[in-house]
Amino acid sequence: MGAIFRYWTVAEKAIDFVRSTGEIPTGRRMISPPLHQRHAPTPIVDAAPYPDGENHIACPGLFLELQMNHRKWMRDLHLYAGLFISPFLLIFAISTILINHTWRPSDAEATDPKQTVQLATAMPEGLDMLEKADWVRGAVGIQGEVSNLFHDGNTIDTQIFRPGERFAVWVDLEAGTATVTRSTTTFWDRLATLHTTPGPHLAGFRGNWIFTKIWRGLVDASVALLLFSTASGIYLWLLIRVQRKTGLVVLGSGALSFVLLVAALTA
Amino acid sequence: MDAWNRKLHNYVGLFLLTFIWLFSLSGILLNHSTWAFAQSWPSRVESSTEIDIQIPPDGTELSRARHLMYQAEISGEIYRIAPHTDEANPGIDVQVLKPGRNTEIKANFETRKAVVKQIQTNAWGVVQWLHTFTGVRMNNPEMERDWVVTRLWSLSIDAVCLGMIFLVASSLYMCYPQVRKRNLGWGFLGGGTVTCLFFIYGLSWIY
Repeated sequence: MGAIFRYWTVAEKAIDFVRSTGEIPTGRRMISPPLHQRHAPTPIVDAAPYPDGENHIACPGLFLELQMNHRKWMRDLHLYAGLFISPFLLIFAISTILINHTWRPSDAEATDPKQTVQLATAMPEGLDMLEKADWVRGAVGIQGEVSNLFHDGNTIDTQIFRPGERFAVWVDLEAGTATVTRSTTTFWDRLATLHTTPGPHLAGFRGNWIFTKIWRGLVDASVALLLFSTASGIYLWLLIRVQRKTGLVVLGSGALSFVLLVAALTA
Repeated sequence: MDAWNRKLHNYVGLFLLTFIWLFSLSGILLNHSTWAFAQSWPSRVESSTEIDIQIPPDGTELSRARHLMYQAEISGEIYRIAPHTDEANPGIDVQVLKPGRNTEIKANFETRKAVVKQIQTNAWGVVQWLHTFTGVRMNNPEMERDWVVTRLWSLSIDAVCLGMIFLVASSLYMCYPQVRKRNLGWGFLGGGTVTCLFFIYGLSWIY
């Protein structure tokens, strides 16, 4: 909070000075002698009184100070944004390696015996797919994302999942019962599930559970923060003069390899 | 060590920049596949041609499929090989994929002709395909990559993931010595971690 206050105080002083004098503070104030008297280096006077008599000690180097604050803010935001999204990045990175090599595929760790449950409510008529998904969750008492739903006459065949658990549900609407088979999955499958949820398939249907919607929003936010981190990272890198040349070479190499790969894939 | 860590953090991030942008953008598109502007299927271009072929020499299904692809001047990752089971209609069907293009070759060895059907999507489709194009399927572990470009792309995906893990680790290493920022940093890291753990374990614990 102190940093925020100081930043605004400096900025307000700059605005006040410009309004009152019409001059733009350029940092240090130079006193230049007439040309025929210039034998020595021009003295630079800091904190000299300005025409309005006020001592603008904050103004000399004002924009340098603003610039330093800006860099500090960008560095801090880059750090904190990166720290917040770090767990998300780890989830996606690790799960991508698993998916890329089909390591730990969706094998069930353990499958419970089938259970028959009484439906809590009868299914109303005229429901659309999303409403049927909501009804199934309530009727069988299982919370999770409904991955697909097949309604054929008096039966509904569906699957409900949440990270770590999968339920195969077969509903007999006439008998008012449902057969449920629960499977628990591995930790790695939890990561892969989170990576692929809600996913591109059945676009209008997936995301039918509130926590799936929340996860989708969190992932979007993580991506936005990641993009901000990349932009702020570029800005911070450009400030480091000694790393600019090497950084440009590295950046160019990465971009070139990307372009060549994509060209080979799509040619 | 600190200087090296910072340098590597910068340079790894710069090298992976374009890859990160691609997977970020494509990930958002896949997460919101109802967005109209990114719909690639309605604007697909389908084409069909018939070509004369020579019967591929005897060998494995893969080698025969590759021979047909060579004759049809098609490259890509073989997704499906289906020899005809009807003896009266000997031949082989091959489905070949590459980002943005789905090609099906239906070869008839009796007539020595093959029908080549192609479906080409727009740039949005290519971007989304690049995100998921690995050459393997989680529900089909026996499937193998048979195109060298797919292997290179798969390796680059691995490299991006390992790079991201390094970037996270190096950022934690850089943050820890900064005493003034440590508390707030732990707060942000803790917030993200608790959120993720809730979704990994918390949901199944609650319900």
